[in-house]
Amino acid sequence: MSDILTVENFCKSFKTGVAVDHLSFSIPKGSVFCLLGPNGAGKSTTIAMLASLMPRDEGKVFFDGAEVRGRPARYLSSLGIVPQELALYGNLSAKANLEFFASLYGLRGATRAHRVAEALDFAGLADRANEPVDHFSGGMKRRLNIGCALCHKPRLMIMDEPTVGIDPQSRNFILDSIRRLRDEGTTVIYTSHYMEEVEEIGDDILIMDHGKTLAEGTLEELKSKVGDLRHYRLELDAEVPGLDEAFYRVNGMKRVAAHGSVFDLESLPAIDNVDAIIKTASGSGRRIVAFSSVESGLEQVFLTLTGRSLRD
Amino acid sequence: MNALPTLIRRDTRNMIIRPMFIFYSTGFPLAMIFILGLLSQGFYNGPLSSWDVVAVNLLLYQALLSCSMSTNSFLERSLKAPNLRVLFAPVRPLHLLLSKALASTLFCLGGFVIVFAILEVLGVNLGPLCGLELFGMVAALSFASTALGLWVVCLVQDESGANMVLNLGIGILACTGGVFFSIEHFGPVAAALARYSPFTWLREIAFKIIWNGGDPIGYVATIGLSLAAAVAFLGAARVTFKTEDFV
Repeated sequence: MSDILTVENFCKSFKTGVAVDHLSFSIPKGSVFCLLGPNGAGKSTTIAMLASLMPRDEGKVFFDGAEVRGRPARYLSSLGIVPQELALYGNLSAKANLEFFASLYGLRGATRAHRVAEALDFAGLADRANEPVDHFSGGMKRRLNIGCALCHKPRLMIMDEPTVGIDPQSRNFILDSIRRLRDEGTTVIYTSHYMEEVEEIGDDILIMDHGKTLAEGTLEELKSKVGDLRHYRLELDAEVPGLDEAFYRVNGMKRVAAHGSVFDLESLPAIDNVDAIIKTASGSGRRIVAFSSVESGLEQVFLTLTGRSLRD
Repeated sequence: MNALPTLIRRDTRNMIIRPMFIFYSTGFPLAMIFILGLLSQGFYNGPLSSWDVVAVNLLLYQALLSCSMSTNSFLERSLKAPNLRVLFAPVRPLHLLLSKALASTLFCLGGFVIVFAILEVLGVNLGPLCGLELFGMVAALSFASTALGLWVVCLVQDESGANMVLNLGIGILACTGGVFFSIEHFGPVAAALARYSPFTWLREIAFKIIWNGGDPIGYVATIGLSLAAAVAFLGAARVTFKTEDFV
């Protein structure tokens, strides 16, 4: 499968520090490419540079093999961008919003009416088309926010944390709609700091932090990076300074990450050390609130790569 | 593809559907004219009535206040995000700014048409051709003011901050120019300020249009300078407007 977008060596610094640091990646056509990282990782800055809204200090972008410089109309017409913030005219109807944003891409007359109707269907808002957006729930606004980026049938959708602050039902709707887009051949760039979403929809995943690539690959490839270590999570009723050092002395323990009173532990699978872990925890004088074996996932990948939790 | 007409239509409609904007462009000047006209009744002799003087003062003042319309139409809280979303499309940033300036000017001119019509009906003297010449002057000033508003809002990157700066500047200009009361009798410094205030200059030209058969040079100069200032402010706004500061 050929690549629709290639980013080479993206760099961006602000007065406050480096936001994106030599970031490179390629996205195959028709795939869902996820940028995963904690808040402040540089995801939105990367998106702003891809959308030609922010000049980059260094680096190149190639779209369909051709280098993108400035704000070329052909490139921008091929993008559908869903911003993190709701960007809708609240006192206009859903239909009027879609019509306006579709007009900016040169859509007129019957074509526009047809595309607007399609976008309303896609967003599940066909029966509320003429209602002012201000009357909508947060989830409906989020769906319309996506619909406004769809009318011109973009080849590449860029979605910047589109599920922030919405109910699970709308979140599932959005994730389903991303799968539908992919099935129709649209390429999607999806940024999130929710691992579950990325695990659910991502064909390729790039984990970034402090503007840098930490790891990239499919979910299975990323999981293989953490090896076949066993992962445990242990929670005490209070913080115990220095307990992580004690856990390191447990036989087979490879990594310990403490988040207050919660410990993420990674241990060699061949060694049965659960009793020793419990004993060490009990020996701290605090009560064990929870202890569980955690299935290997992106959380563990991030933890292994950075030594801290994605949610920290 | 040229999205400018689409943007102008959208921006104008966004203003028309906001009652506060409509009040600000029509109700506010009419109310001010009514209040100040009443307060200054009997101050003037001969063919000049207090209503005539107050109307000219406040129409010019209102033209200068047009800047608030462009700052609001661009970065008002509920409009900022969708306005900036426009830049995701193949739209030139200059067109985004130009649209705000032109739509705000059009909207303000709509307000002026209503205010002029009501004043004409009430018998206020706005000069020949039902105030058409004065209207031309007000229109040019209004365009310059909306362009200034855009430049300042691009600099400040915040609608309320920009309005504060602009209202302060225009307030000083209006006070020194004697919009609300004459400051000439507050001493020689105040008199000098009043004499050299650009507002005094504008008012003198407007008065000449209405009562002295006009001042063609002053009139053309005012319109020419206003249009040149509008172009300069728009250029400055484009240079100042960095999309990265707004995302």
